[in-house]
Amino acid sequence: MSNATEIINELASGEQSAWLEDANRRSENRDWLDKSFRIAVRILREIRRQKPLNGMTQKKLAEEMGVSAQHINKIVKGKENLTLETISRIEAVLGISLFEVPSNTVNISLEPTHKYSLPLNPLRAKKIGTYSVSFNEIETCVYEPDGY
Amino acid sequence: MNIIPIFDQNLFAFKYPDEEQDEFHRLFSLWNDPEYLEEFFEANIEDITNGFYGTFTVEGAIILRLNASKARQDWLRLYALRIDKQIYIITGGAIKLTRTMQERDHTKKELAKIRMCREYFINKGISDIDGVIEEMEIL
Repeated sequence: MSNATEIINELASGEQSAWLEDANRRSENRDWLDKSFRIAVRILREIRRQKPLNGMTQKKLAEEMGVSAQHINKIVKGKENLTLETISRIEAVLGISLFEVPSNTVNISLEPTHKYSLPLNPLRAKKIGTYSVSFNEIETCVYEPDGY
Repeated sequence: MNIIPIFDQNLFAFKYPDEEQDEFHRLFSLWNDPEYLEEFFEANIEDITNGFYGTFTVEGAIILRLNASKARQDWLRLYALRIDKQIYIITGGAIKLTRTMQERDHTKKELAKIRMCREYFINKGISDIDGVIEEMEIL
């Protein structure tokens, strides 16, 4: 060990940096912290946009939501594990959307893949067969006339 | 000023009297703070609009923190003194949006901190060993 290294070790404090603890906490909670970070940025940008229009500030947001300024500060620091209730209240006060659940809709088409026709007047029609329509995977229509 | 061990035997950081955290911890806290980043990029909006690293919106520049983009890697800077070729002592850091540190006040301040820390070591007797203190940009 050189003289310089010895001096550094002598000068070094017994205190350990809290960085590692913070880094581990960030790593373990990465998924929700990233979402919280993005929400914080959206809120901060909206407050900045609205400030010249309606005087919006973090303090005003807190007042209108009925929460403490400290709570809002924790949110805009990206450290708050937000509840849906809190998100909804922020959305209502700022008039923005922060969280949307993508709808998982299925487009159902009842158009048959095979065309069939029926006599115009069923009362006068001669029975030429029976037909069954089965919806396999919604869109497959089967026509099976008797005798064909 | 205190010297705080970060991890391993070779990485340390200065902790200045007016700060609650050592420089390594303080900088990573700032770079994970959306409020700080929003204010910083808003204050330096000209440097991210057709700047040295290209063109970004404020929101885009902040969100870069969430990925390992080239710009993010390039503009987050840690500054350190290196002693004995293997021991690093972090003196500070900055989001450097210009080509040189002399172009902006917040990076000029970091240059001054590097010089102050160099003086600190010289006063502690490390100046005897010629050329062991180097100013470095890492990360």
